Amino acid sequence: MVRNELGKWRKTISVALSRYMAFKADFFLMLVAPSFVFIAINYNIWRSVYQSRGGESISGFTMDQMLHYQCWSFIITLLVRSHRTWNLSEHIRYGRLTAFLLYPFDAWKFYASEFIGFQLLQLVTAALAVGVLQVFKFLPPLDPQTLAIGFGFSLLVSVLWFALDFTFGLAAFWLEEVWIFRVIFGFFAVLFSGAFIPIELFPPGLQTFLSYTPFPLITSVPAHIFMGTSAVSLWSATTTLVGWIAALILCAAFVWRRGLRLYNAAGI
Amino acid sequence: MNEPTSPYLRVLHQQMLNSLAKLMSFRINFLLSTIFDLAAFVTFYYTTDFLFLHISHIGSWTRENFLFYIFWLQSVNCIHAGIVAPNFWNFASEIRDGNLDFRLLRPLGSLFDIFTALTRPVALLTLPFILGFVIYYGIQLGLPPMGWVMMPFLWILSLICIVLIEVMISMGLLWTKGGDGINFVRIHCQQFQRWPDFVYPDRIRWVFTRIIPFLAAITFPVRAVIGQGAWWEIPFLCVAMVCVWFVTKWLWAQGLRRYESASS
Repeated sequence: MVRNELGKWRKTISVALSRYMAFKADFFLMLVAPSFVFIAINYNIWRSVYQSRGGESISGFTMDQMLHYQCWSFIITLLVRSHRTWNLSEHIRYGRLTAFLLYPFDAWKFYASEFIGFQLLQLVTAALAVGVLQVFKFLPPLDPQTLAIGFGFSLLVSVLWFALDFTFGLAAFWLEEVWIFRVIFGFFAVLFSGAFIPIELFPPGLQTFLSYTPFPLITSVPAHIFMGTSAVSLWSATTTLVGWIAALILCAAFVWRRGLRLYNAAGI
Repeated sequence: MNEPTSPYLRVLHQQMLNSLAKLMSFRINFLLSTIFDLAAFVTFYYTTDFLFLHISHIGSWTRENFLFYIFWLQSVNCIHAGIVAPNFWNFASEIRDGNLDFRLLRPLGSLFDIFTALTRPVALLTLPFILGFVIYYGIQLGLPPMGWVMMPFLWILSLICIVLIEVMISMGLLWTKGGDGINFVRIHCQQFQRWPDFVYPDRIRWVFTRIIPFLAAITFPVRAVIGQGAWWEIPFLCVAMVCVWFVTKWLWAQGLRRYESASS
């Protein structure tokens, strides 16, 4: 039974992997573009900012610390922000979800397999990126334990991102277009997770408000874990993260049940 | 309502009316689209604002210079997002599905038809609001009279330049099979424009102002308006725009030869 179930997961993940790599030029561009843009934009802008200040530190961040923070932010972005449920809304709108309701493999399992397949690729890409950044002295040498903890925590954050993305996709039971939710959330995530400007540089009131939201967990907390400068303990951060993931999974399950009542299998 | 006399403008006018009718039938989408545009605006604004809480200038530019630059870019993006942007993804899927055939057969310039087929009129609604900020920060900067006179022309130049460069990049879709990669690159290239050219190192600046003038499209006109531009920048941008157009036409002709028409 368990073996049979694992076999289905393995097969679906393997099909997803082959599909991602089917269009080689596209796959290559999708890997290279974010890396190049990161190096060209985030890194250089912060360098310009510090040069304008004569190298003086900003809110406790020295120039080197800020540049390291930006490198980790890039690695975390690679590991966390996948949009593997982007076609869920299309499946719901055009009635293709019916097939998943009939298969002996639930729809969420299918999307989770797609997500795992993509994460396997991103894990390799991120590991390579860390290696390249260290070789070219963008990042200092790291002990394997910190690296493993940072990667592990980032992968857990990616589950949070997947749960959010899946819930946004389910809004297609009610709405014609749901990509707007993802993009709006993406805008706010870049700003409020500290992906470009560390949260420590925000006004104090906003910092307090954000500490009650999952935004810092998306970039700021894992970046500080990688840098060894986290203000919160790993245990506390992980517990909070797991709590948010559990809440989002419950929310997604609730939305799925409600949405399925409205599903009319158009196109069957 | 008076209809435009040019056949192209008539088509565009009709496309906008169709999109507006569709948008009004899905009211929540209309609301979400407006929130989407405002979210982009808010995050752009606060990224600069939070940064300038800790610094007084980057290079020779102050907070006001940067905000003027950002609102200029945002206002150009309103038109871009309203008329052209939705069509890049559509172009990719039409190549994949073979639906491009039908566009090639229409008695209309194919490039025009491809890149105006889908419109998002809601993006245009925020334009007056954002232009208000361009004028506000223009006043804060004390723009010279010549800057105000040149502003509408240079703004149009920015818009045409951005659209032409993106159309040129999207011609790469005719050479790739999936389409997502090229669109991904195009979207990432847009990120460069969020900051003026002087924040980038020399090599990157040179490539994105001289070879693919993504950065020049916004930075040069803004610099000319605020009276900091070099004499050659605007003439250079005009020449670059003509070159980009010819390269696009050439790539289009070459790409069509490779097009296999999945539907036939």
